[in-house]
Amino acid sequence: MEKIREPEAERDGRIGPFPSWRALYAAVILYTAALVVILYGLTRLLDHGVP
Amino acid sequence: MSGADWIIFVLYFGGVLAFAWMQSRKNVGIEGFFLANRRLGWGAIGLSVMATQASAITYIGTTGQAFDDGMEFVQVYLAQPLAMVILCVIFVPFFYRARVFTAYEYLERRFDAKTRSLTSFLFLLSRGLAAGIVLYAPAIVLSVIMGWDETVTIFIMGAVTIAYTMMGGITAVIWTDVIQMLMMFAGIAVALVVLFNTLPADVGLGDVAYIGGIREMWRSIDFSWDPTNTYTIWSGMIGGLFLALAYFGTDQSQVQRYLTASSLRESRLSLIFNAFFKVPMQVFILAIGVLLYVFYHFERPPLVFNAAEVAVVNQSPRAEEFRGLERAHAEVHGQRREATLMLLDARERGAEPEALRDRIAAQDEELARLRAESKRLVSEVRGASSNDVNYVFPSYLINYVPAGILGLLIAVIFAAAMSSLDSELTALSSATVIDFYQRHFKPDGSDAHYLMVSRAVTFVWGGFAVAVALYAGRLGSLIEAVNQVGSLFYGSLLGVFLLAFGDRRATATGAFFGLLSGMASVFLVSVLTEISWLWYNVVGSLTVLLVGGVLSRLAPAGREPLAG
Repeated sequence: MEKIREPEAERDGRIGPFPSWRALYAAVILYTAALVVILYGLTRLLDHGVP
Repeated sequence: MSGADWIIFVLYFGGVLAFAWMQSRKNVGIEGFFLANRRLGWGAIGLSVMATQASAITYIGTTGQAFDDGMEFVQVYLAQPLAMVILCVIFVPFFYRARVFTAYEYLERRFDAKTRSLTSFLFLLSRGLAAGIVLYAPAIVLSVIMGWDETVTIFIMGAVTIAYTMMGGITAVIWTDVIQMLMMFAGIAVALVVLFNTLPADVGLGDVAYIGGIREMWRSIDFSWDPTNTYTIWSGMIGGLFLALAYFGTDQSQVQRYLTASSLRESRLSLIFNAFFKVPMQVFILAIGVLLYVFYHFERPPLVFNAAEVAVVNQSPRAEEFRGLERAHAEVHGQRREATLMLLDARERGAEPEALRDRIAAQDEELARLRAESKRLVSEVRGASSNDVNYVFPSYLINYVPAGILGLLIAVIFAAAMSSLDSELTALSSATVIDFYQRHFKPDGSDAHYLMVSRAVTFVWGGFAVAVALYAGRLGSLIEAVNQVGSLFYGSLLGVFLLAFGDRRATATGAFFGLLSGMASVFLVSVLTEISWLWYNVVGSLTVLLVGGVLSRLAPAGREPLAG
């Protein structure tokens, strides 16, 4: 995959509470994992038929 | 509908048209008409991206699906946040810095004119027909609710959407999408509150959760490995990832949205906004369906929610057979209602009534069987499959929602339909004008000329969508064919873009024949196997990458990729 060159302003600026884009992307990935865990937890908790 | 409902309705349509008229005076060139002069912020774009994806059928069809099958549909969306990260890192920088008008324009710079024309043509073919379906599907539902002929609802939605899209271009489209998306959020919240309030007074949130759990309606994650099943975590995380990448990364109706951003940062943030909010929104929409399922434990639901289908069956020679099913349905529903009330009473006394729970589960099974049998009967009588699922939520609205709120919720259905159609129209118009008219027929026209042509093309595509919608009822299974044709292209289009971004040695010949191979492979897989359509995008993309990569290495070297 070609390496994408980013201008300094894009690479280093803060994005809201996140120190960098990389941190924001990591937060999205963690958020996705958390969604799966939460939905699975709700499935186990609320569905009486799940073994 | 009451007077209050009509006031809300007229205010909504009038407001949308007035806003578009104000925007029309700001459009002085083609960049303003198609890309809002690249000046918009992430909030408006993010909401417009969401509104474009959320059609009326998302709102009314998904709730109906959850009423029948629970929350499992949410798995299709679970990979969307990951797709947004990949788009932000790879796709958006390429598109944004190339300063293109359409996604396909980039492919000419990277490969050649024929690859651009073919991909743009495939987009026009699939989206042009789909625009008619986007209009038709909610129009028939709304015609049942309003008691109007479906021609009237098609013309109202079509005419208003064409008018504000022609006048205000992408700026009007995006800002009306913002209003329409906020209305949808309000509609979802109001629907949940109203539904909860129409339950019996002594039924609490815990009871709702418990009743829903009897038939596993809350099951949101399924770890079983079955590629023929669309609703598993694997189909969702892998197939859904490729689908989201294809839709948000190669479909002009979405790419055009983030090309309107004032900076790369704003483009990316608009997608990150969707990464965080799309799945919760879908969870809430599905929860409406599960709440409806619980609600109809206490109120008797129709056996078939589409009143027009019931009328056809009642006038057919098999009317008595249908009435027999209705009587059986009423009897079992009465028994389930009694058992549910006994169960709630037992729970209030702190008991864990397993026998009652099992009885309700068995009655649920029987009601589901009777519903499936009646839908089969309807399909046989009509000679076309029953689309009853889209009527579950509207049927509740007209029978149980108070005046005023009903007007808001119906306006939300109109808004959802129009916010998808307007995006289709601007995307179809931009691809037609930029990728064909300007590229092949009149490359040296003035800005004013292209603006005039763009408005005319928007009108033509709008008229085409209305015509398809008017005739869609007579097309029967062709509607399904239109959707299937779209799914044949998507993965292959994604493959071409991945080849352009990721393979330095990819050539125009490799990309072009890779694309044809990808579509052929998806066609074969759809005909010869039973795997879920979600996997078609994986098959198409990987085939293009493989065939395109190999051919590129056998053919002479192509152009260097554009800087990302």
